[in-house]
Amino acid sequence: MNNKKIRTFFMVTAIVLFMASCTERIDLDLEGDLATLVIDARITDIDEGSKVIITKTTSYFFNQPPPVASGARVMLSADKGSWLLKEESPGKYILPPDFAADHKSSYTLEVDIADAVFHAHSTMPKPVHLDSLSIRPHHWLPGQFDLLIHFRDPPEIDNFYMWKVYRNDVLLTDSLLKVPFTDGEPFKGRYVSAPVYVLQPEDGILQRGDVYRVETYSITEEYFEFLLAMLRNQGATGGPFAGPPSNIPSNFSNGALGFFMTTAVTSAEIAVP
Amino acid sequence: MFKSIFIIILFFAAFIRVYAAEDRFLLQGQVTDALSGQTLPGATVFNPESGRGVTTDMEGGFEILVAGGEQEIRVTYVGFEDWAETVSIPYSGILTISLKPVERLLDEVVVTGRRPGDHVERTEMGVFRMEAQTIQQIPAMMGEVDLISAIQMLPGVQSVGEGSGGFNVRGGGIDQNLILMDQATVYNASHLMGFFSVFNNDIVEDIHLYKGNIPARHGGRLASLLDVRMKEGSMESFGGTGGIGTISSRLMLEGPVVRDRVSFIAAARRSYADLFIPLSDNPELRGNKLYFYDLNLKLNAVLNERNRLQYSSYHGKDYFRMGQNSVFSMDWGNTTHSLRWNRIMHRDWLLNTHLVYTSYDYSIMQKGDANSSFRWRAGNEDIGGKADISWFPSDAHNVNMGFSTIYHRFDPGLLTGIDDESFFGELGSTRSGALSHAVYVSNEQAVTDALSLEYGLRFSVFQSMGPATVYLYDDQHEYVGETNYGSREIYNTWSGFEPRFGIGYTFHKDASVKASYNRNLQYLHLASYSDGGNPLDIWVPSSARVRPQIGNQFALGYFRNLRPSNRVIEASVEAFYKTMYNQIDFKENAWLMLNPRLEGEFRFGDAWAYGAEFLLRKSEGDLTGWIAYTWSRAKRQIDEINNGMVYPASYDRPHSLNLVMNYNLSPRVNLSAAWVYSTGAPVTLPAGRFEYGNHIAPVYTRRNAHRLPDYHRLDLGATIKSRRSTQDGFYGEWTISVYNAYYRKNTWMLDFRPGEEPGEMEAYKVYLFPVLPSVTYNFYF
Repeated sequence: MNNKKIRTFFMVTAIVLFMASCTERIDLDLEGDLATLVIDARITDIDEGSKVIITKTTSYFFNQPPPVASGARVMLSADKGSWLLKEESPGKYILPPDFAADHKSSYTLEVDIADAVFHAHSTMPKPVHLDSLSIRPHHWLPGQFDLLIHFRDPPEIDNFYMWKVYRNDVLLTDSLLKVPFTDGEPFKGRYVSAPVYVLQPEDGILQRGDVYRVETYSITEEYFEFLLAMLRNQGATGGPFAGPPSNIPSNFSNGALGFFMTTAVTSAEIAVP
Repeated sequence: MFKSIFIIILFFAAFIRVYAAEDRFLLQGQVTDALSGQTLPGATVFNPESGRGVTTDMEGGFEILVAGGEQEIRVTYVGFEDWAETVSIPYSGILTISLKPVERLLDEVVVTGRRPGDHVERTEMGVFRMEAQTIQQIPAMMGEVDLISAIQMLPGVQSVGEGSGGFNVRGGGIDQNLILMDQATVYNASHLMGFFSVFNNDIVEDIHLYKGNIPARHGGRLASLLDVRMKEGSMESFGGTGGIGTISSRLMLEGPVVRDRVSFIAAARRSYADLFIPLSDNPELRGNKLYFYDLNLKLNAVLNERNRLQYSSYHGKDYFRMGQNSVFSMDWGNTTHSLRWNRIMHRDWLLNTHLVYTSYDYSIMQKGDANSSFRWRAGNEDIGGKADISWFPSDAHNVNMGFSTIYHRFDPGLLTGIDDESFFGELGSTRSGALSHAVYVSNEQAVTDALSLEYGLRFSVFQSMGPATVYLYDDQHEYVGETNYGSREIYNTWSGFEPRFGIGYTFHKDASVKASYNRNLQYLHLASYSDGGNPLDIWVPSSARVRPQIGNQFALGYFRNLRPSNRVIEASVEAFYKTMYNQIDFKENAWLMLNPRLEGEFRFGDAWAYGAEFLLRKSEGDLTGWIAYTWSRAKRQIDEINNGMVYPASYDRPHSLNLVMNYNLSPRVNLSAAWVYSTGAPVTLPAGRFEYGNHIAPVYTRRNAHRLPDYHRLDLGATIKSRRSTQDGFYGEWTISVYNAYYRKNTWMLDFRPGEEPGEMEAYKVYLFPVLPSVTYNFYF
């Protein structure tokens, strides 16, 4: 599947911009008694990046941290061996120190809890390195700046990317709406010089000596689709432009929600001169 | 095949009555407006001796069987002086009757193309006719008179949502409406995301909305036919109309090119909200543009008594631009051309030939920044012809037959980098084509004075044509391979019979019952995320995977004229039941744009709808308007959606009540009001949530299981004419309208947003319009 092309962010913006709409907070009664297992599992090739967090679904307006699922047996396995994860704190499981990620290796995660077993597979993508970063004033938004990335998309494989942006080690892309991610298909094998993030006044005024760092996450196509679904299915519902909302896909067996993702991470930075 | 044709011939022959020709002759004629030269559809032609009467057709033409010798012929038409003359029968040639309008000021108020009460005697059901004048009198949002908003007030028709140009007819989707503008299909009838339609009311003559019983000469959509006929320019004198409104300004000009032979009418409209953008204090906005425009032109030539030629065209666009150096822009619009040749053939035969072109396209462009510059184009195009022959064996009998052939081109969307430095390659899919053909025959006949029948058969064919890459899928909708087809290669064909049948029984002149059955096939489908449609939607042809949609509709109706104090109030009740097969929905998280494997995102199932529509309509007198109540349900079942369980369609709104009132306070002042009510639209709300990272994600269990709050709204309008009458050559009028007069905060959509505390979610309702007053100045000359 290479059909997830570009984010239609601009289209949505166009629609939203011209709807002179008003909003009013309301109370909705959305009680639900689902208690499905949710597994947030990330395996990376950087230190302390890997973890598995197991929680449960709640009613929509629960508005408290979700209940955790403690006492699970969590096992990661690959061709080269298997690793039993340790429950560091309730619901949070970490890999043993001897784990070292292997690019292009296929991993299986098995979660065994209350007599139910859940599986997911993921093949870790290869890392992609940025050549450099640059900053320039935004074309039509005064007081805002484009942070550009420069790199060649490796032509031999289908790449999917996600980026995280830090200013002086503070994460700017701290919510899903701010996280840039894309399918590499549109620029397959080409040299890319493109804005990855717009630095806005709330991100801090651009000052000499500031260090901006961009982490490039090579992600799998399935995770790209998961992110896309997360982005598309938050917020609005109803209304003539909305269309029916969809559930967010999971790669776990046996009905568990969440996602098992593997990713290779590289980093590049620029200091404001 | 031959057996089928034989049966069909028998079927038709059985009802054709043989007339004794010795003592009766067919008189043909045409009724026109003596002042403008325009033809008058719906005028009554009456022969007192035989007691027979007929109504003129869409072209003002009529045929009446009368006895030989000196015969009196009378013609009446509301808003015109009665005409009566003695004619020597047999009469050679076509009798042209010019009616004089009654006093101008009066006719501004009462001109109507239909005779109140005639719904009882016609066989047709589920048809609503409305003249431009009626449309103009309904209070309009921001003063923009709009026929789509007007038809949303009719029984059995629902608006998709506030400010949406999409409409649902009797439980059908927005793509199941065939919209014709002078016989050319309009694929996207919306401006500004749907707030306004592409029809400039200055040049609309009238509309016919068929909610079922679509005549056999039309097809291709399951739910409805909206037939919009544009005005013909005056053959006698120059004139025009225009207006300055809150959103747009308009100008229409008409007049003879060659007096009594050739006329023109041209109209233009442009919105201008963005002309004020450069004055904005906010420099970020100054490079931005957002407008739409429409251009219409119609030429009409009377070649001789028997031949007429007409050319009608439309071009409209929406344009949106952001930025000054690096520019992001988007435009979309329709273009149509239709050329009609109208020939009265031997005695009682009429030939109507059309050449039609229509296109809808959109483009999105980003430029100024070389390596991320791109252009994205998509659209579709039709070119074709149709021929229609009407034969009038008698004044109460009309046989209609013809064929049509259309070449369709589909451009589902291709994104390309604009220059060599662009990091965009080529995305999306390339063009494909198809041919659609149809032949039909229909018969409308009064079998006795009380019993009338209308029946027809349409046979349609749809052929996919190369070059094309066809993607193949297994039963689980997984891609398994692809096949390439060469240029002009026909690689898939669908066809089917579409019978239409209607019967009417008139108890007396003011009461009748009618029943009908209608089958339609639909070969084109709209790939749209939304229920209301948006400019980026694309039309997808049927293929080996996407079977034609099939719709069956059964309807039963009771029609009655009430006559309190010499005025006619039309009352009707119509009940319908519809089954629809091969209906399309999309898999979860479907990707419909720039997707070569779009068909893989489709899921197929069935739908059905049923309901009852109650209408009271008064179209004479100082107080006119209608009250319409509809009870209806629309449901769907698709195996892969909602766990295979039946779910309400997003346009399932059980109760709907519309009131439209118009009151002539004085010759100069007209007041209007419209009130709409409908059950809230179904909506899918989360049954739970989960946390991933620091993001809250919804979990859905049942499709459309909740509803938005009920919708209701009151609009008011007033029109005040200037004291100077038309005799001065120019007069103006002010139209004041108030949309949403009692400030109902109708929920347009629900929005879920994170609250201030981590993990907190809050629900918001989004509503669009407060009380929205507007003023429009219209002038006529």
